[in-house]
Amino acid sequence: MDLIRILKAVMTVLIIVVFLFLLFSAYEHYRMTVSTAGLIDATGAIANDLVLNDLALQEGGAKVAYVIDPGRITSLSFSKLIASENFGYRIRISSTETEWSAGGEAPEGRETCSIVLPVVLFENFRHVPGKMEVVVWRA
Amino acid sequence: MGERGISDVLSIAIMFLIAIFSGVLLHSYGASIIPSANNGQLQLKVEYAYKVLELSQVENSSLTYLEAISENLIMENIGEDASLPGDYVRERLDNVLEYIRPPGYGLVLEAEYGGAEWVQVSPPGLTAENRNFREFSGKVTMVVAEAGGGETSIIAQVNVRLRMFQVS
Repeated sequence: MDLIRILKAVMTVLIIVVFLFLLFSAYEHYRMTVSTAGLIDATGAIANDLVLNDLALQEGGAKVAYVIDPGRITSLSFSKLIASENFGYRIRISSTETEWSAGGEAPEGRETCSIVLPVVLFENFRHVPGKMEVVVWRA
Repeated sequence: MGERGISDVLSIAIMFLIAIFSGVLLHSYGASIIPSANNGQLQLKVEYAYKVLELSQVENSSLTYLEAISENLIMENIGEDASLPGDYVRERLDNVLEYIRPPGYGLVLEAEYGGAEWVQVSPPGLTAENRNFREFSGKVTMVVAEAGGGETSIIAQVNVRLRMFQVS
């Protein structure tokens, strides 16, 4: 009888330990999921901001929405603050004829997220289709 | 004693099952967060693909791709020729759609005016039915001066829709 009681107590403690382990594991998984989703959202936000503001073609003092002037790539800071978090990025813009790229590399082992967007480039005084790739990481 | 033994084993087994089941539930909490973020990126891509067609110019022309399509539809409606032939625009558009569509995804461009339609799919030959889409739509407004040989101008609005789907 005592042996059975001891066994029951041990099994109960074991189940509690397993439950606590699962709880901790689920929390870590949730934290990582939220962090990854945050990086994905930040990547889209940075790419959007680059097209609409930092790289936007200037005509008559006004920005032309959704048209990129690739020459402005040299004026970028390659760092953005989003929701109190600092993000670093590098960028590559390409048309069917030319390519521009700038920015640093992510620290080794750092999680990165990239997005490739079709964009309109101001090239040779014409608006031509192009692509912009942005790779983002937490600084 | 036998019945008490069985009830003890049963209660421990149920506790174990509850612990495992709750672990599964806890891990599945927030499972939709990353797909939701990915959907946001895909929506951004289809919006930007639409903007490329709206703002980039057809080769050897000042018209944008959507303007060229709209002009073709409007002119078809009033029985006149467009400045850029439809076949030429379609061929150029095939190249642009192929260039801007994300790998693993197809694009369907649909434009409609006064009963006339323009539908173009990339990659060509693929059917776009029965697929899940992300879409972006808008209107292209054009003024056609001295339409139909008369002295009045018409202002026409063409409905355009760009849809993106996953190619299986």
